[in-house]
Amino acid sequence: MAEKILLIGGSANGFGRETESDSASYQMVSALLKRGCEVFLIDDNPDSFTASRTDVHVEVLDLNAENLVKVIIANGITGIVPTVGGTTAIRLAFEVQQILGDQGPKVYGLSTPVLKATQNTKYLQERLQQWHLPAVQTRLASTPGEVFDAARELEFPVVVRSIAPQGQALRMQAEDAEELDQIAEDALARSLTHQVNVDKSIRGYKEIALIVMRDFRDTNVLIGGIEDMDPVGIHSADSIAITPIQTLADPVVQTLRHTAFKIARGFDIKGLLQVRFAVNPEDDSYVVTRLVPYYDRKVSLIEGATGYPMVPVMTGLMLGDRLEKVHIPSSYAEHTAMLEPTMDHVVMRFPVFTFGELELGGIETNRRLDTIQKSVGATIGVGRSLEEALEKALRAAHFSNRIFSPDLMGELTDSQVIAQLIHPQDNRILLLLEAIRRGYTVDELAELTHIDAFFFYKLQKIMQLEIDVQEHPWDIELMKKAKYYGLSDGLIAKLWSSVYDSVRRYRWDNNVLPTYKAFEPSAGEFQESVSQFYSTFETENESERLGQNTVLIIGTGAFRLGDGAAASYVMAMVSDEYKRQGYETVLMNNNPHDLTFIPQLSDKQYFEPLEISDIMNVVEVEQPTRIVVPGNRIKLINSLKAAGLKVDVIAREKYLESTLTDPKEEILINYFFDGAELHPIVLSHQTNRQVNIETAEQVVLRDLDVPEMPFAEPGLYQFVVPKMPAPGMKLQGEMRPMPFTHVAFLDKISHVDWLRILVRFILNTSTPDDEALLDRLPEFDWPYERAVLHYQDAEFKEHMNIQVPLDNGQFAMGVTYEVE
Amino acid sequence: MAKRYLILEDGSVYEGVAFGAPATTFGEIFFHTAMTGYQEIMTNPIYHNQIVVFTMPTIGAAGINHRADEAIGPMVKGVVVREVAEVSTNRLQSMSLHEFLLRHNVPGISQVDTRALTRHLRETGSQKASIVDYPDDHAFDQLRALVLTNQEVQQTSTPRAYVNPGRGANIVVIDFGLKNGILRMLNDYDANVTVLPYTATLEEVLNLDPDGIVLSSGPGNPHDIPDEMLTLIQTLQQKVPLLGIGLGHELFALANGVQVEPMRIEHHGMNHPIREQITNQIMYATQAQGYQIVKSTIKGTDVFVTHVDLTDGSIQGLRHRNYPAFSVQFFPDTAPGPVEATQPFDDFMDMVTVRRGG
Repeated sequence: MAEKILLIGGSANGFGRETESDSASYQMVSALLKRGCEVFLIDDNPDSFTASRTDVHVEVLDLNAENLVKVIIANGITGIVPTVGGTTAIRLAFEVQQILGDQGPKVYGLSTPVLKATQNTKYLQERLQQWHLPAVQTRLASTPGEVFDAARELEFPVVVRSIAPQGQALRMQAEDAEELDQIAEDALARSLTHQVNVDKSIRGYKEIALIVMRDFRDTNVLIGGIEDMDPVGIHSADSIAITPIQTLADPVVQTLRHTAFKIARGFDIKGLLQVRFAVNPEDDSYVVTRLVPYYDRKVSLIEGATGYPMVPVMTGLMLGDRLEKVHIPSSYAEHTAMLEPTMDHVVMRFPVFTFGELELGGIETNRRLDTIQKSVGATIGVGRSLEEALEKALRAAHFSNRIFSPDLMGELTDSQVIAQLIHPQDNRILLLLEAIRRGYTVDELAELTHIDAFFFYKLQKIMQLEIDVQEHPWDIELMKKAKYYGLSDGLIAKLWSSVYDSVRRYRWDNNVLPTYKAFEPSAGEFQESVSQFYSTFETENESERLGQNTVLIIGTGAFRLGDGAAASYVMAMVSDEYKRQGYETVLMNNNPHDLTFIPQLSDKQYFEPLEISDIMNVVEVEQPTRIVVPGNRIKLINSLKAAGLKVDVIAREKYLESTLTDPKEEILINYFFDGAELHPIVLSHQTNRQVNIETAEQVVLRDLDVPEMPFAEPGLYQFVVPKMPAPGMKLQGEMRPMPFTHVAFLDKISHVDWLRILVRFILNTSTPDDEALLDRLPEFDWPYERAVLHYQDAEFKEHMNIQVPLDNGQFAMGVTYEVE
Repeated sequence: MAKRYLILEDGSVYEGVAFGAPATTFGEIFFHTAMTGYQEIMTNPIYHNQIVVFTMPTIGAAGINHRADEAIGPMVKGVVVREVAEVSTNRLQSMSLHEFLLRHNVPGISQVDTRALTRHLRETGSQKASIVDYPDDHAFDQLRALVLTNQEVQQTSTPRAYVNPGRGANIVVIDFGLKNGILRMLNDYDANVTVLPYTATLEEVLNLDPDGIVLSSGPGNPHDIPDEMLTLIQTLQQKVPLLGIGLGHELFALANGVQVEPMRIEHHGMNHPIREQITNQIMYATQAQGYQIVKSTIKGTDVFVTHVDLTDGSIQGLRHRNYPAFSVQFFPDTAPGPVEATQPFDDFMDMVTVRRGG
C-alpha cells in the first residue's frame, strides 16, 4: 500500500523563517510523489507555494497538535515529515509523538532522541558528554534565586533561555547582575514550565555551522560549512556569513567534521543534520552549541552555494535509501550525491534590517544587535574573491552606493565608533569601514570586535580600491580592477561623478565584460550539467544563451517588510506559468531562500544582484524575448523599455502609507484587469489585524459602478473605498495594485490561480475557460462562506522590542488564514 | 604588483600577478580541489617539482605554521591561486603564505582564472608548465625543452637511516618521499620507527627485527624504482605485516604481479567517496594519485581489491590473500584530510600486535 505522508507546514513566516522551508517542501513533494506516496500538507500560511500544488491534499487548519492528530487519524497517515516546516513543525512532531506514542505514524527524517535534543538542551548536553564531546556549560533554574546562583557559578556574562517558550525561543544575554535582574523574571514567565537554562557565555568565539547527510548504513557526507564573520554575541542570522569556511586550518575543520558525524551517528540521523559550533580562536577548542535537524536558512544557503541536490537526497535517505543508491534528478552527474561538495567560489550572506523603514514610520527602535534576531531577510553575493562576494551582497541588499563616501559615517564621535565596534548595530559593515578610515589598525579592530583579522585586511583592500578609483577617473586599469573585485557600474559611476550608462559604455568599449561561472559541487573536476550561474570578470565564460524564446524573470530579492513571502510566491507562480506557456525561463534573484530558485521551476538561474547594470549584463547573454519585472521597480522598467526591450510588469503595491493602526476599516473591491476591462472578483474588509471576506456580501458586486482605471497593465488591483458601496452608487476611492499578500490569500480561498490567468492575458494566450471565468465572476461559486487573513506581528514586536501598535499592512512579518 | 604568466606546454597562457618569490619556475602542473590544508599540500613530498593549482579561490587565510608542515619547506615548484590572503593573524601562524614561499624561493601567481585553468587541465590531463615574466617564444622553447626527472624518489627520500624513537612496536618505514603525517600517526601508537632510504636492502631491514613495515608514499612513477625493491617487498610481505601507502601501494601491487598505469585525469582532493568492499562503508580521504592499478591484471594474482573510488571505479586498496600485507592508494594520515581515513593504520597496528603477541 502506498505510504500516506503528511508534511507539517510552518504556518506564518517570521524571524528566522523565510520561504526556504516552503521551497524545500515543494521539492520534497515532487520526490515523494515520484516514489508513489500520497502526500498531505497541513498549513495555514496563505503564502505557501507548496499548498498551491494540485497534487497534494492540503488541510487549512491551525497548526496545533490536536489538529495534527485529527488529520493523521482521519486520513490514515503512515508517516509525518517535520523537517521542512521550521521550528514549529519540529515542536509539533514532538507533541504528536507524546500524544500518540507508538501508535502514531512514523516520523521521517528525525529520530526520537534528536527530536528530544532540539526541545531539551539539558538532554542534548548529557548526550554530548556521554560521547565525550564538548557542550556549553549550563544550569537549570526555576526561580530568580536559582538563576542568580547559576550565574555566579558560571561567571558573567551568561545567557538565559526559556524552556518550552511561548512563541519564539529567545536567548537573552546578561553582562552583570543588574542586567540579569531585568531579564530573569521575564525569561521565567515566558516558559510554559516556568524554567530557564542559564548558559555560560561563549561570546567572542567563532560561529561555525556544518551541514551533513547520513544514511542508515552510517555513510556520512559533509555538504558544507559556514563561517560567521561576527563572533558569538549577536544572533547568527544577523551576522555576515561566508561559505566555504575561510579562517580555520584543516585540522580544526576535520575535527568539527568528525564531531558532526559522531553526533549524526549518535542520534541515528537518516538525512540531514546541521551542527553549530563555537570555536575559541585562542586555542581552537570548541563547543557544540546547537543541533538543527531540519531544513533552515543555513541549509538553504549551502544548497544554493554548492549546487548539491539537498532535498532529493534528504528525502531519499529519510525513506531508507542508501546514499549510494539515492535517486537524484538526471541533470546531476551519477555520483553527485556522494561527492563531498567542494567550491571554487565564495558565497556571502548579508543580513537585511528594517530599522530604517520602522523609523520612517515614526517608530522608535534600538539599532543595537544582540542574541535575538533582528534581521528580516538576507541577500547573497557570489564571487571568486571575498571582496567580490561582499560587494555583490552589499549592493543586492540595496545599500546606497554612497556608503563608501568618506563623509557618511563622519558624524560619529570617536567614542561612538568604539562603542559601536564593541556593541554591533545594523550598519556593521559601514562602521568597520569607518573605523579603518579613521586609522584603527587591523590588530586593534580584531581585538575590539573579535572578528578575524582576515576580514579587516579584505575591507581595507576594498576601501583602498574605492579611493584609488575615485582619484583616477576613467583609468581603464583601475576600472578593470574595480570590476574584478565586484564594484558595480553604478558605484564606479558615482565615484567618477558620472552616470552608469556612460561607465557601462566605456566598459564595453574597452572590452571589460562579465564572465559567468557555474555553480557545481566539484570545483571544475567533473563535467556536470548545470543551470545555475554567477558573474565575475575573468577570462572564461560558461553561460551560453539558453534559447531563442526565453523569458527573463526578475525576482523580488531580499525579504524586507511584510510581503516577502507573498512576493516570493507571486514571482514563483508567474515564473512557472511562463514555462507552462512554452517559454524557456531564466530567473535572476539574490535571495538564496527564494521560491523562484526551486530548481525545477525555471530552466536557468542567475544568483546576481538586481541592479540595472547586473540585469543588463544578463540580458546581453540571454537576449530574452520578454522580461518580467515586479511593478515597484519603476526605474528598471523604464530603463529596459528605453533599451527597446519587451517588459511584462507584475503590478505591485509599494508599501502603503496608510495609517491602519487606528481601529478604522477599509473596504477593498478587488479586480482582475485584463488590459481593457475591470472584472470585480471579491469585496474584502481590511483592518489593522486582518482581512475579511464574506461570501454572502459578494452580491453587491453584481451592479457595481465601474471606477476609473489609472493603470494600463493587466493585473490584479484593488479599489479602496471608505464605506460599503451600494448598487448604482458612484464609486469614489483610490485604485492600487493588489498587495501581494492579498493575491496569495485570494488564490487560496478561491482555488483559482489568478496569477496564471494574468500571465495568459499578458501573453494573449487566455483560454475560453479564463474568459468564461471572468465573464461569470459576479456569480462565482466561492468554496467557503467566510475567509479571514490574519496579520501576525507578535514576533516583530518581540524581536525589535517595539511597544507601540504597528501598522500591520506594512509591518507584519507573516500571515495565516482560516476558512469556514 | 608585477604581472606574471603561467604558460602550459600546449601553448596556453594565463595572466596573473606575482607573489612569493620572483623566480621563474618549471614543473608538471596539477589542480587540487581541497578547500583546506594548503600548507600540508604544498609541503607534501609527493608534489616534489610540481606546480599546484588550488581550485579553492581564497588561499592563505589560516597562515603558515610549522605544525602543518609535511616536510621542511614547500616541495612544490609553484603555486597558482585566484586570491592569496596577504596577511593573516591566525594565532598559529608564524608567517604569511607570501613570506613562506619567498623564503623558500618558490614563486606563486595569483588572480588567475583558476576555474578556466582547471577545466582546461581536466581535458588535457597534466602537462608541463612554467611561471614566467613574459610568455614569449623563448619561454615556451625552454618549457618544451624541459625534461622531467625520473629521479623524484631519489631527490626526496632520506639519504641515510634515522630513528624516530618510541616505546612500542618496532616499525620500519621505507622512505620513498615520506610525509610527516605518516610518522605522526605512528607516533600516536608510540611505535619505535626507523626510517630507511629507498635503497635499503633486505639485510638492512631484517637486521632491525621489524614488527611491521610501512612503504611510504612518494612522488613520481613507480616504474622508476629499481626492481630490487619489488623483490624486497616480495620477501618482506611473507615475514612481517606490511602497509603500503600511495607510491608504496603501487609498489606493493607491482611486487605482486599487478600492473600500474598513469591516469589520464589524476585525483588530487579529499572529496571522493571511497567504498571499503568488505563492509560496504563509504568514507572520504585525501587523494594524491597520478597512477592507478590496472584492474584487469589483478585476476590470477594473490591480491584482492579492498577499496574502490566510486566516482571512477579506480582501485584504492589491495590486500594479500595469504599474508598480513595490504596497501591503500589514498592518504590515511589526515594531514590534511578526513579523520575517518585512518582505519588502515589501526588495521596495520592490529596486525603488528598480533605478530608481537604470537
